Amino acid sequence: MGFLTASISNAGGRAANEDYAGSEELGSAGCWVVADGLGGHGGGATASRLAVDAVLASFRANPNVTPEALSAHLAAAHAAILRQQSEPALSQMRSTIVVLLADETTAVCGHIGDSRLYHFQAGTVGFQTIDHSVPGALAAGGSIPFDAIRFHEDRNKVLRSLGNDGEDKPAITERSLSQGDLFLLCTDGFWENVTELEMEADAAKAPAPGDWLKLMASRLFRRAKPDNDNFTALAVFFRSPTAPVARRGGNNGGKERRWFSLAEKLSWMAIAVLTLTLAVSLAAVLFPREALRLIDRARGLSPHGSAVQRQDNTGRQKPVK
Amino acid sequence: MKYQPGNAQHIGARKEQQDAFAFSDPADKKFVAHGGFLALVSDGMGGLSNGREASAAAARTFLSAYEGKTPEETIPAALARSLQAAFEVVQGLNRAAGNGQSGATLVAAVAHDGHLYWVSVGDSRLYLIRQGRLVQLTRDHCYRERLFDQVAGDRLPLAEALTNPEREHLTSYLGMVGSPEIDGNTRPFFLEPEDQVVLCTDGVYRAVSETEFAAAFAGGSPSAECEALKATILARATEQQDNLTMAAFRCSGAAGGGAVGNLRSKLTVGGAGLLLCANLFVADLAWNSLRRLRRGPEVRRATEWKHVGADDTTAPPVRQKETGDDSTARRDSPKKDPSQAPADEQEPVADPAADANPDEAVPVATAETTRKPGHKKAGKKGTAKKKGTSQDPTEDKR
Repeated sequence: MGFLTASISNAGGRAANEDYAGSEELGSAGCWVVADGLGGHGGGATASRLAVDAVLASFRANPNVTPEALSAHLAAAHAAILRQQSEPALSQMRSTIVVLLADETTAVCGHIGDSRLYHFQAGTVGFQTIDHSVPGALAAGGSIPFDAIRFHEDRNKVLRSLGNDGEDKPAITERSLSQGDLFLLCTDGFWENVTELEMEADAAKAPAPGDWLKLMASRLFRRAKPDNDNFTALAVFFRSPTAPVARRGGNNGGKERRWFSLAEKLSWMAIAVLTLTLAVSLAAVLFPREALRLIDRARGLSPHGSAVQRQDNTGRQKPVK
Repeated sequence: MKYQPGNAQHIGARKEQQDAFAFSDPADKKFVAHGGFLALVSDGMGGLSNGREASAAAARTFLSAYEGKTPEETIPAALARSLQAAFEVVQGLNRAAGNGQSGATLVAAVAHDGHLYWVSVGDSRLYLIRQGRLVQLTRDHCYRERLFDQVAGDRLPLAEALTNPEREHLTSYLGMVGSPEIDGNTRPFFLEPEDQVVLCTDGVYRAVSETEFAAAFAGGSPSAECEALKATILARATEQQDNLTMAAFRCSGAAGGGAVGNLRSKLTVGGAGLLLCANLFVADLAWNSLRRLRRGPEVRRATEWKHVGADDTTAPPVRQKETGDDSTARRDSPKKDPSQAPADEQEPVADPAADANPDEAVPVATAETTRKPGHKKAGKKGTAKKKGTSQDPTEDKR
């Protein structure tokens, strides 16, 4: 098995922990889930637990690593919460969710709400989910940078969640896996207190997923306010000896590569333009008379100056003849 | 990637400076090629000069051990070996003194080819400043962190960890009994251009907020930035102000990571450059061959000028008019078609009849010939000048 898993879940400064995490591995495939429940009177805790259990049950019935399978798991979780909402005390319960499905080559991740998944490749964040929240939408539209979400005043306004009326509307992404890839699934209580750069720094130090979580939790504890939110994080290390090793800026265009890829893009554009002008110049060298004729014809058609010049030319020709 | 070092140090309100720092030689290119650039800071502990000796010996030993690195040894291995050497030296000092009186923290960072590696024991810290954001890379070896691990495992309330009276006690340092816990990265950490790496003792980070720290390193040379932070600390220093020491360096130039991707980029850029050269060469060929075809009319005009200039002085109005027309046409035309291919520049002088007799090429520079009449008559000077200047751009192009 190529996966090492660890998780941490803590009530923070709150009376109850409404977060829940779970995972399941079947053969070469695995399923990892983190959910953050909301809705008072125990509703939040029930919702997150229902959601995680429903996803894992659905995964056991269909352990394929495909976007369709993940979509079915999320729909099952949504249905489970809607069913339980018939109980009056639980009518307001909702849950965010983030799910990772993976086998030896592929990862599929999906989420609803503001719980996140980070995919670290070659030591840097290669992919992160976009929160279904007001600042998440702003960041997706380019109005604010992604790392400004954690300081945004509307970060708690979640736009989608399991248990809302209608469709569950998940965001699903397929990723290819490389040796040494890391995944972090976490609730907002976690990512609000640990920056992406800190996640990267701690990933460089951690020999195992449990160490990584402890290092990041230490940062969170030092920063946490007394009434800090519940936080839950689940770390997955992909360690298959057969998988290719991820190279810095490989298939994903890591951060460092930005400068180079820009230079590369410009170079390709220059190459395209230069090839064209080279072809034109070569044609002019090989067929100079035809080229001249073409130029003259173009000049004849050009709106300004041509008439005057032609008169000029004829005027000059006369004395010679 | 290049590394620009800087440092600052102050005794604070203490009687003795027990901090030490060191850099490897950034000018030793042979060593930098495999060993990168090393910076380290050590904070000594213990009375009666023991602390001072411990940190100085640790820094000296670590540096010389690291400078003994061979190209075959990996950087993490060399760092571990150097740390072991420093640990043994401080242990030796303690043995010589008879009782475990002294100790030292040590944090060392190596930047090599866009990667950062570090080792640390104790509570001195390594920070990274990227785009104004301060990130602590090391984890302090103090009791608080052990308590945090218990909090993470839900075995202890956070409040207890934060208020435990022993929370600042060191759990790992050079000179301790037993084997020290080492903080360091097992995987490379990638540096970006303009990243700043700062190593400092607790006298620095306990005296300022993270915001103040980051603000001091917002710009300027690393030594100026270190001095700025030192000034911030000293401006409000209390009677308890500890020794403060910082060693920093800034990375510049492209990151060296991802050799394959970089090579491809370099090849692409190089290819574009080569293509540009080929273009210039062929365009020059085209320009020359087209010009050769167009020589005819120019030569005729030149002889005409000579003839007229030498012949009769009673006909200037006619000639002037003629030259005036001619020169305006020539002067204006390059301005009209700058967007066209270079081969088009001769166009205004072009004569459709030139096609018929391309072999009339005579190597007479038109500019020179046209200037001649200008010297004779002041009235013509203007026109002659114009002609001269109008000729220049084409000369330059060649």
